[in-house]
This record gives sequence, C-alpha cells and structure tokens, in this order.
Amino acid sequence: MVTVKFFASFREKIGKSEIKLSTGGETTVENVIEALEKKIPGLKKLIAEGNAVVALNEEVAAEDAVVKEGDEIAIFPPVSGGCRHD
Amino acid sequence: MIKIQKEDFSVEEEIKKVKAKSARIGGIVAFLGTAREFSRGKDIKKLQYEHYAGMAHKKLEELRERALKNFDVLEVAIIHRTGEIKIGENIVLIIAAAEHRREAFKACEWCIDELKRAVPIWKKEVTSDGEVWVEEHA
Repeated sequence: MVTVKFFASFREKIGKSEIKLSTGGETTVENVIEALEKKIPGLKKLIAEGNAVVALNEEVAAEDAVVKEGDEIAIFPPVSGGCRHD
Repeated sequence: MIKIQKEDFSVEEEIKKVKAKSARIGGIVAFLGTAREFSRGKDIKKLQYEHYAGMAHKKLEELRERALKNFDVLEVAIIHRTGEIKIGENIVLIIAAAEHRREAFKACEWCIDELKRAVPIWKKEVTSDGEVWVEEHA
C-alpha cells in the first residue's frame, strides 16, 4: 500500500487530501500516477497543466523513482510560502 | 530554531532567543513578511496558508543547515505561520545572526528566497471576488 497526498489547489480540485493505493510490490512514480489516473480521471492533465511537483517520502522525485510498499507520495502545485513582492 | 505554527510570534522574543545562542554575535538581520491588503490588483480580505507538515519541517531544517554551512553566520531562525492570517499580521520571520552584518544580510536574503522556492507551503488569497491559490513559481 502506498499513500498519496494532495495539497492546496490540487487537493481542492481532486476533492481529497489523501488516497491509499495498492501497488502490489515495487513500482515507479510514473506507474503510481498511471494507476491513480484510473481512480481520478484528469489527474495527469492536472499534473501537466499545473506544473505539479511530485515528492516521494518528502523529497522531490523523478518519474522513474522507485516506489516501495509503505512509501508516501505527495502531488502538489508549485509552492508559494512567504509573501509576494517582498 | 525552526517553527511552523498557527499562532503569531513576537519578533523581539525570537531575536532574544537567537542572541542568547552566542556571545560572538555582532549583527542580526531579521526579515519579517506580513499580510498586505492589496495584491495583484485585488483587495485581500485574508490569507489562508496550507503546508505539507512532514516535508515543510524537513525542508526548513535543511534550509537552516545550509545557511549555517554556506554563510559565515552563527545562528539562523525561521518561523512560518499557517492557517488563517489577517491583513497586517505576521506571516514569516527569518533571523540571521553573525559576527558582522554583511554575512547576516546575505544569509537572511538567501533563506527567504529559498523558502519561497523549495518549502511546501501554499497561500490562498481570499478577496472580495473569491478565493485564489497563489502558485506563481511555475
């Protein structure tokens, strides 16, 4: 089982802050996203158009990063902490 | 010296804590980000901050460690608020302390730039026209 978290506008658009996914052993970030697309149609489009960041166990990860049982993935828009024009 | 919290903070208190870390400190630079009323042509009613707790703490801690390593500073403190923030309230505080001012200025500026680039914290502006997530770092 892999936990996938969504934040900010992605969380609102998807309507969920977290989803559990059965991966059946080792896989990749890309495969997890493919599997998620079936549960959340339009997710891939949101990722592409929203310049999404994908993190694996709290580190930014590439599509081919290896995902293991119990890992945590997070999909979120570009960050905007602090304040603007400061 | 890293905090993500809902509550407001006292700049004076936080500077005092940093100062207490070393008697060698001779220059302290503090950056305080506050909630502005007007942004991108819209009147802002309030701000709403969300963060990815585990990763945000980890990235802020890394940021502090890197600042301590890359600049000639003695202490760095970072506080970011989350949740609802009203106009005029404090949002973020960065304190960099060094023997001399130049390194403190450099470290402080680097920290706020890096924070905005790499720490998973998001801001939503609540305006009279509705709510909008600010995701400008695309």
